[in-house]
Amino acid sequence: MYLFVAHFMLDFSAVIPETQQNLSFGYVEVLIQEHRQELFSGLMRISYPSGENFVFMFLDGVQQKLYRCLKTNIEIVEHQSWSQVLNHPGAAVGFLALGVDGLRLIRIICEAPIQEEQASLSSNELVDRVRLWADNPEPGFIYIRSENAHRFHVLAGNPNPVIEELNVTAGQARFLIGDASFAQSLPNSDYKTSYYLSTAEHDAWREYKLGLAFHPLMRILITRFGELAGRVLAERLGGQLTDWVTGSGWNMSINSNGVVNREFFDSLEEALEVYMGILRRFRDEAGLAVGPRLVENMFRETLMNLPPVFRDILNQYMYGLFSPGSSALIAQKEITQL
Amino acid sequence: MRFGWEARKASNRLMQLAITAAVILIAVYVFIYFREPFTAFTNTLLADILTVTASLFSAVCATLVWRMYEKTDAPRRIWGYFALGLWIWVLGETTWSYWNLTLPNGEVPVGVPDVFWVGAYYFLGQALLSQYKILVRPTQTELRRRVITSLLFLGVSFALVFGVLEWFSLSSSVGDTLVNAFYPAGDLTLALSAIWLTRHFQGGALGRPWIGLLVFTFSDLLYAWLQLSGAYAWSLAQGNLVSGFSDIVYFSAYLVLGIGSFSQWLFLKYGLRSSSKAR
Repeated sequence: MYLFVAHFMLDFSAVIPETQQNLSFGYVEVLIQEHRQELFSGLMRISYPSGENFVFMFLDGVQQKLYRCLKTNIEIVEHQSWSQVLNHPGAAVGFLALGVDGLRLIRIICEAPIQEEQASLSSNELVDRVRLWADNPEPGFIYIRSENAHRFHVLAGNPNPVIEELNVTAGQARFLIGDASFAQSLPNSDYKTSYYLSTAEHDAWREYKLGLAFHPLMRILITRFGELAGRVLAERLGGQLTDWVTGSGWNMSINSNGVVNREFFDSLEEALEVYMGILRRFRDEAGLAVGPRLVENMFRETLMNLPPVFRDILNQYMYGLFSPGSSALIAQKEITQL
Repeated sequence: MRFGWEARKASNRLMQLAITAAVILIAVYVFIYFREPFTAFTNTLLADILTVTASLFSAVCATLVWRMYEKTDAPRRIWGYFALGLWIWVLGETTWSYWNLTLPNGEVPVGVPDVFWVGAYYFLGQALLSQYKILVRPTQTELRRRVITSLLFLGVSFALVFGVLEWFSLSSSVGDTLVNAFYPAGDLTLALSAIWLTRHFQGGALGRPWIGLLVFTFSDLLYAWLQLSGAYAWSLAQGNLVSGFSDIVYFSAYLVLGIGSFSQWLFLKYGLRSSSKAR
């Protein structure tokens, strides 16, 4: 029934306020159905008198995952067991609306293996501690609680240019992108802080980092293409890539600002397949304009301009696509040109 | 302008049309050149009109490409310079044709047309430099080094050709020698730059204009060499094919240059799209 176990996990479901209590399973199903119809994106908390807590993840009305939150771990409940585990009376339910970025962050919190370190820190101590944690080459996240706010900060591992933050206050969630300086902007107070150290080798982190890296990769590639070929062709290229990716059934679009990714991939392999597909398409289409040699140079230059943490993960999974003399390049030369 | 067929088909058909028109123009030029169907004046007039038309075609195509780019686009600068250089060549061809038709023996001395032809090299050089800057994004030092190297190459080639011409007394005056020595040196410098660009854009549509420039500079180099070596005048006197071949290649090269730019214009208008939408 359970696929994965995360150790020493926090019960983050507490941040979702309960709005209705003592509901039958039938009524819970009605609520789920209503939120499906409203194309709800976010989290639905379902807790039972037995102490069991479940969290449903919705994206555009589609239930993506069901997590079972326990005091020491979080488990992913298999799809076919959903009805079975929820079929109990006396449920208390709450909702927290979240965008796809926030959902991805929650997925990391739920799925990545972690070790916990807890502390009660003043805001000054927190600044120093965050700097220390951000320097850790292994990824992790920070959970900061104050009187009326819950903050989650995801650290992708040093060097760590991006720290994503989910701030939940009074039942409202706000997703932000920042860096390690976020702690300096916190108001003077005492914070109950938990740091969860994880391991970069886990697929959840790999997929997360790949997604983070893919956005600037595409932005720089398309910007560079626009420099060489002009804005109109760059926009058309973005349109072609978007046509292709949406035609393949993925909720993504590509423009001169990068990638708008509303897709929630099931696995690293699935994400990789889509990203590689976009890059292949980019190589083929941009190659028609500027030639495969320049496309290869563009890719190499772009990698060099990315922060090392992004470069490493892209190199690990995608470098072969543009390496000199690769079969892909040879195939490119055979493409009929306009 | 909207076409009722798919973008790719529209692009292919327009390209085929341009190539067919160019082949017909070359055939007409060859026919007039070798068969001389009209009076000497009319034949010269028609041949000159065709040459001016070919140069006009290349300038118009480059201007079309320039117009396709938006003001903030970096390549617009390349095509601004490139089109300007080609328009100046049109002026060179036009004034040369005028002298060719009005002077008693048709031999045009070094003069006004050369001011246009030589002046155009500055703008073509600026176009190549702009393309280099976009491609390589050099630092100021790298850019300076590259410009100095190119100018040194131009200067050394120019000095060598000038020395040879002076040694063999192949030009009537020092002024003529200076101008005549510039063409091969300028062509060689442009040709090497065009080779570099063609290599970078290998297989890409945006590299085609540089292939056109490469063909043009080589044909002009051939023409300049035949002129300077005296082979052209000797061939004319002998009535053999060498001078005719050189003139036809020179004429055709303008068309190739124009088709290279036209190809880029087609790509900017129709490329990277699957629908029939035109811009």
